[in-house]
Amino acid sequence: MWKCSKCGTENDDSYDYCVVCGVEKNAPPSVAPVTQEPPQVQKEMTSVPAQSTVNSPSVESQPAVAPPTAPPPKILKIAIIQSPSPELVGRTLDLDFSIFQTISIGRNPENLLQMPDGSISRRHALIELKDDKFIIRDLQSTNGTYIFESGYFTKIEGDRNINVGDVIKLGEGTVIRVIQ
Amino acid sequence: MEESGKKYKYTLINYITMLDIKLESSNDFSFADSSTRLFFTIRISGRKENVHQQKGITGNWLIIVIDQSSSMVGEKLETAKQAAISAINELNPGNYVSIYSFSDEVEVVADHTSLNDVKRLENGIREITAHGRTALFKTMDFIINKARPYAEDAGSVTLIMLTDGQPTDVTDIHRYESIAGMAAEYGIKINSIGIGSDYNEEIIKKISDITNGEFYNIVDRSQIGTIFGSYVQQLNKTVATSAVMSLNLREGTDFKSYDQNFIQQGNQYLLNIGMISDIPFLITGQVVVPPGKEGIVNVMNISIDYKDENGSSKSESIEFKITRTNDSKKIFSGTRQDIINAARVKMNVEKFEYLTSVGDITGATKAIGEARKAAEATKNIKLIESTRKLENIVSSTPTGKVDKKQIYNETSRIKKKGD
Repeated sequence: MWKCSKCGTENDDSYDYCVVCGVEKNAPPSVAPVTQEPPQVQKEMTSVPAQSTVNSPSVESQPAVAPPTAPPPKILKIAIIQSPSPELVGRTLDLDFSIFQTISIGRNPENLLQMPDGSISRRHALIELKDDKFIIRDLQSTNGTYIFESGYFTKIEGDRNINVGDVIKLGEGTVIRVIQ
Repeated sequence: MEESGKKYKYTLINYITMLDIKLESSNDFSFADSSTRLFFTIRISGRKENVHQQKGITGNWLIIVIDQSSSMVGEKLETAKQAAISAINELNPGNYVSIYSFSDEVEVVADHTSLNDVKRLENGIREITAHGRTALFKTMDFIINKARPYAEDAGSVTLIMLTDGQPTDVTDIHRYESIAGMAAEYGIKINSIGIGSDYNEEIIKKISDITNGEFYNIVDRSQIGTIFGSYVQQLNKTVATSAVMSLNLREGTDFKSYDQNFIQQGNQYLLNIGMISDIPFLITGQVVVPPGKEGIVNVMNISIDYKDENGSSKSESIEFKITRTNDSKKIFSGTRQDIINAARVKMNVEKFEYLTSVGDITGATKAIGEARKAAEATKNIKLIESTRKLENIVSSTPTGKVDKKQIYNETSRIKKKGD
């Protein structure tokens, strides 16, 4: 196996190019990417006040808008930039922490955020609002949770702060980006 | 170029001509500091409204070649004859047919004949009887040379060849490769059907591969009629004939197709498509874009020359453009996983097919495992079933005595039809 210098994907030795990002086997690692504008999204998805399954366009609705007098919304906005379900790629999702302090991510329906990806564990990771900061924690998932930094996806061990612009990989096939 | 959303960024829908040409790439970006492989799919088909509005362009040539060696005696030959009779009855008037049978020699039942007198053709087919041996090389050589003038004059030739036995004249596969190469150059597409357990699958599969035809291993005789019928249906819905695709690559760009056999001339790759109907013609492959300065790169120009319903020559072309960048995030967010998965299936199926043909069953098993994983990611049930079936075939025969006929039947369908 060889590890892609750009996206961190583990590739079989028989492959000369990374199966995910396409870069050649011995490519130099990227310099740390600069923060960029959020990707152009195709559709907005609803906030997550309760269990949400990210596998059907039927859950789409208008984006949550806070009333003018309300306190600042505790919403983490993410965009799905890679998924085994092509219809989800490019979608955004508002994770609303004013209702739940932690939002669980996994393949099974008991999660608040259910992801249709076979490489994601049944209970894969948690995102938590702690001391006004968002953290992500891997729940000893089989295929791991990663954050993109310095040209690699680095495995997340323990709690990890997440900020706008962070790119996070869940399992092997799902990549999200924090956009707000 | 019309842009209708991210998924179909390269879709060209030409409202003047007869074709839909859709190009999709696994990414719109490549790395500026490293070589980057991009997968792509091109789908070419007749525009639906054109297919439905007209009865199909005529003037195509359907050639049916039936093995009449003594082993074909009985139901096999009778079913093949009946399938040929049904085909000539269903084919639209204005097209042409040739019927050849072969054993020790080639027998001409009908030679580039119009469909004005179908009864006479039927009688000729009914008179085919089983006898003698299987002079396959002599037959193919004769027919390819017969079809050459018409094909070279930019006519579309579809050939269906059915056999049940080992060639008794020439057994050297390289000689078949040589005549198949000529057929491909002239634009003759040879679809081969093997029936029974004694034919040479390596030879007839190779002929079909080189000429961009399909290979079938028949286990149920009733399939013969279905296969003949499918080609007649396509011919009856022809919207363009004599189609030739040319890909002009930017210097330094590598190209490979997993499912079609292109003829390379320097930086240009040519493919004789022949007739185009409403059934999409698929080309799946990869390009490797070299590193270079950031900005837009025209990876290749794709042109298709063809003839329309009036016999007028037409040409359409689209450009395959990407953007080189140093921003990894752009590349990651631009990834089209569906294109990658579909291409990985074909890439590994092609590898599997080759390793099977050279007897490397360990390597073949690994390749088909990769293909199956990619197929599962596509969520295409037919593709998942086909790759699992192939995996079962190789894993259930540890001695290496794999059933290549069955394997090639599956791999040919995956490569040509995408399922």
